[in-house]
Formats: sequence, C-alpha cells, structure tokens
Amino acid sequence: MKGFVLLKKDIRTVLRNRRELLWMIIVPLILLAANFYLQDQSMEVKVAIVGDQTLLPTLERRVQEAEASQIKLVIWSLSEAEAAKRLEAGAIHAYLVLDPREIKMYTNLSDMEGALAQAIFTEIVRDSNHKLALASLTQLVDNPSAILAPIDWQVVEASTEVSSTGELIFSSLFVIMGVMTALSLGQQSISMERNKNTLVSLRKSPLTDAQIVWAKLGAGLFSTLLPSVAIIGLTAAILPAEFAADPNFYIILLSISFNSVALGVLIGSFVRGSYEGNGLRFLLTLPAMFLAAVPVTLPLWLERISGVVPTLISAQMVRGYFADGYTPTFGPVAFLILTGFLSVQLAATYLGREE
Amino acid sequence: MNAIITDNLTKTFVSKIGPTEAVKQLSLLIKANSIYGLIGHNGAGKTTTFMLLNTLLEPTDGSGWILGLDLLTQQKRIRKLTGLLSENLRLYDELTVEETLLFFADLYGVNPNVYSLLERFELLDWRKQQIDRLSTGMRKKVAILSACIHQPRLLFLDEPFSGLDPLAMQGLRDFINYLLEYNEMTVIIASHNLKEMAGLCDEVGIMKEGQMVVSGTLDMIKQQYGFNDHVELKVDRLPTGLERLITSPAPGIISLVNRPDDLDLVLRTLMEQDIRVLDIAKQTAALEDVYQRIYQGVAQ
Repeated sequence: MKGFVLLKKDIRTVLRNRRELLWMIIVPLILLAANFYLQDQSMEVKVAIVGDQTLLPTLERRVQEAEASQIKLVIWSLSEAEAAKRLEAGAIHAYLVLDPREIKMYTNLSDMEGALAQAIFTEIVRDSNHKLALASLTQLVDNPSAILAPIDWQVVEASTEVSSTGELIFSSLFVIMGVMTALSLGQQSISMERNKNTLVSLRKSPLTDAQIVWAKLGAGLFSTLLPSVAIIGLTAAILPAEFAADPNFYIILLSISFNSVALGVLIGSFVRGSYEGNGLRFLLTLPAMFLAAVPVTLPLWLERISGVVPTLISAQMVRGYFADGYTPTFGPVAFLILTGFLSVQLAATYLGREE
Repeated sequence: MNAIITDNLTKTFVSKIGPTEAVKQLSLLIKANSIYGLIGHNGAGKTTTFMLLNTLLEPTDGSGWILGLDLLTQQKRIRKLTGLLSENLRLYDELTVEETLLFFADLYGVNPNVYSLLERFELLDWRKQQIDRLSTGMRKKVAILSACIHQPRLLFLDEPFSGLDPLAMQGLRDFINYLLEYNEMTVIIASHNLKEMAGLCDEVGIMKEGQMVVSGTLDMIKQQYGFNDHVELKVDRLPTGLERLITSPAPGIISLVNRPDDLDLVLRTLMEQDIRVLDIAKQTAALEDVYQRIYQGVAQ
C-alpha cells in the first residue's frame, strides 16, 4: 500500500506539469499534421515504357482509375535510347523495358520520384539499382497483360495506403511515443528522484526498493498512456484511423508501453549520470525507430538479434501492425511483459547500488 | 543513554580504480538528547557515515547500535526511528508545502497535525504554495519538517546551513533547538560551517580521509590541540614572579590561560605589586584553529 502513496504523488506531479503534458500531445500532433500536409502535395512520377507497346493502354487506364492518388503516374512510350537520355537529363524518373522474357527498370534512387517509381513497381522489379531486375518471367512470357494487373494494383494500393490514412507515418510516431517517450519517462522517474536527492528520503522511508520501482513503473505508464490515448483519440477524430477501434492495437500499445517504461526504470536505477542514461536510451530506441519507419528487409543475422531485443520486437510489432495487418500473438507479447517484469526486479536490485 | 554507538565501523567501496575506504574504523559514542556535529572536508566520509548510520549502506566491517538497535540486523526498525535530511535535498517542486508534508507522513503511516506544525514554523500562510515558489530558507524548513514528520528520535541533518542567509540560519538554529527541547530528539549535523557548529553542538567530531581524528566537547578538543581560551590584560608595567603562568605577547600586555585559579592568582599578585589593570579581554580559541591544525597535519 505504501507504494500507492508514491504512485499517487507521482501522478499528481505529472498532472501538475500541464505545460509538459500539453507538449507531449501537441508535438506529435504537429508532426503528424506536417506529415499529412506533405503527403497531400501532388507528386508526379514520370515513367517511360519501352518495348511492347500493347501493354500501354491497360497501364494508362489503371493509372487513370487511381486518380484520387496524390502520386500521379505519367507514362510515356519511348524508345530505349530516348528513355535513357531523358532519365540522364532528369526529364523522366524511370523507365521500364518490357521485354517478352523479362522486365528491366532503370531509375535514379537519389531522386524521391525515382525511389517512388521503384516502390510502386517493386513487385515486378525487385532489384533496386540501375541494374536489370528479373520478375515473373514465365507469367510475362505466357500472358503479358496478366502481369499488369499486379502493377496497377500496386499503384493504387501504394498510393492510397500512404496518403489517405497516413498509417505508416503514424507507425513511426507511435514508436516514438510508445518506446522512446516511455523509456525516457521511466528513466526520468528514477533519475529525477536521484537528482533531487529525494531518492535517499524514499529509500530511508518504510518503502522497499521494489515498492519504489513498481510505483515508478506505474507513474511512467500513466505518463505514457495519457498523452498516447489523447493523440489516438484526436487522430481518430480527424482521420479514418481504423486502429483506434481495434483491440489488437491496444494489446500492442500496452505491452510495448509496459516493456519500455520498465526498461527506462531499469536504466534510471542503473546509471548515475543523465549522459549515460541518454546514451543507453538512444542505443535502444534509434534502431527501433529506424526499423519501424523504414520498410527494409533485415538480413537473417540481424533478424535473429532483433528477436531478443525488446525495443526491436516492439518496433517490428508496430511496423507489422500498420504495414501488414499483423495480429499480436502470445509469444512476443508475453516476451515483452516478461522482460518488463525482469527489468523492474533488476531495477529494484540496482536502486541502492553503491557508488 | 547513548543514541549511537559504533565500533570500528568501516565502509569500503570497490570501483574500477580499486577499493576506496570511505569510512575507516569509526568508533563513535553520541549521547541521547544532544546535538552532535560532524565536521570535515568534502570526501572526509561524513555523508557515507550518515548513510551507514541510517542503514542505507551496509558496513564492510565493524558493528553499531542505533538507539539500542543493531545496525546490521534491525535495519527496518532503525529506519522508523531515524530521520534524514540529505545534502541538497530539493523536494518536489510541483507539490505544495502541505502536500509535501502529507506525502512523507503517509509514507511513514503517521497522522500528524500538519496545521499546527506549519503554524509553529511560520509556514501556515505558505501551505498552498508550491515548493518552487519558496525561498531557500523556507524550503530548508519544509525539508527538515518532512525529515522529522514521523517524530524520529534521531535526526541526521547533512549540510543544513548551506545556501542560507544569516537570518535563515538563526531561524534554523531556533528550529533545531526546538526539536531538541520539545521532542527529545538527538540531532546529528554534518556541516562545513564551523561557527554554526561551535555555537550549536554539544559535542563535535572531526573527520579526515574517512577517519575520526578527534571527538568530544569543544573545550576538550581545543585543550587536546593546545588551543585554550586566554585572558589578556593591559597593565602599566609587567609583574614579577608570574613567569610560569603568563606570557607577554606585546609590551604592556600579559596573557594567561583562562583558568579560574590562575586568573585569581594573577589578579591578586597584580594588586599586591600595585600594578594597574588598564584593560581586560577574553580571547576564545576557535574551532577553526583546531580544524586548520588537523587538516594541516600538525596535530599535537
């Protein structure tokens, strides 16, 4: 029960810091709005088609059907030499060579439009450089128009997914809120007591070290979830964010928040200086943020490592949820909860660590 | 009764650079219901001693009894009976004075009359103010009040005078004296402020490099280090036959150790030799003198 006294005090302190609390809600909302604004800007991706021109009308029709998209795909029919020249001059962003046996795509990935063209056609062109890419060869040989259905399916899906709900953008923001902020709040809840020298007063009181760290975990969770819920509510009010009504999303939110705050509490108990703490925190969160925000396929060894690092599991769960409709399973959720518990227990041992 | 007894209490910290003995074989005896001052440079071992005596650190060696309880086995009970104001305690800026006191009262499971406490210490008008709006002196008062909200029998104050103006220091002195008088507390103070310590403490101990160099009443310590209070007399001529008792630091001035018998003998001799006393002054040896001697390594 003594732990609740500390928890009550901490919650009161959090609620008194209205300005800080407001910033914790406002800043992500501003970022979200800015991202939406940028996404809303039309972008023209000019792609030339070289080779089998019979495919062109189908492709054009499909692109027209995707008119609502903010990414406008403009398609030309050109000779290969002309297309290469125009790509060099920057007049087009990519060109596809439709050969009866293979599809080649040439683009410049340093251009955003070039990267977008590559992303749009990624299903059939898997190689991302200027080199030749092989895809669906047999299908193309047998029935060239069949391959075009996936092409414009990709056009429509890629553009509408990104621009109409912004869920992929939200995923990286979610990681920032759910992992980075939670870690930071967990760490600060202990570090602040240490800096103010009140930790000695708490440890001197009848509170046990375990009661102190659990109370800090509770307060950290409260400070993480309160702005998170506000942001989710506001996002759901202005955008068609389906995740706001999905229980799976909240399972992910709770398990990630619990684990991250617990890790933060452990860092706060372990380190003495704030520099050390910040370093450790960034070490844990930056790869997670990268993993959540950038859709890359990890090499096998890295995937194995990420399978046991809680923040990376969190990031993969978030990315999986927003990008592929991942449903949380018992394993990762239980792992996050278990490592969270272990972190808190370890934090209690380190709290009174001698200098 | 003794509030604190320690026997060869030792604390060694082990770090990358090797072991460091922060407190070395500390043997201490502090009487109950008194004020004891712990003096020493930064790193002398004062705070570590406080942490050991409050059971927040485990001693590497030695034993101790706090209010009759074993330091090594009865830690929970000791913590309930002691209060600690740690150095530079900053409290919670977001809480009000009243909330701060109630928070610490709740932690200890006590229900004190906070209003009368606040009234007694002239904080009642400030009870709804957040801590960050208080002056340093007021914060210190709130911090000490929160350290002794559970009415401990032993109160440890680590650097309570730091950052206080003379008026606030006077207030703090009165406050400590009140605690001693009405609550029958034993107060242990660690400080650099030698003047305050000399005026406030019944006994002092001087620590250096983790060791207690000397401990006892101020007079005893001064005597031990050859710093006695002196009486200086300005006379119209020097007396004869008193060479054993007096010195003459300047022409027409005689100086003697302030001992009643000696003073009586000197005054009677002066009268017998018809020597006029023009002025008389008492020269009190300061704690600073002893402290300096100890830290300059010229102990006698």
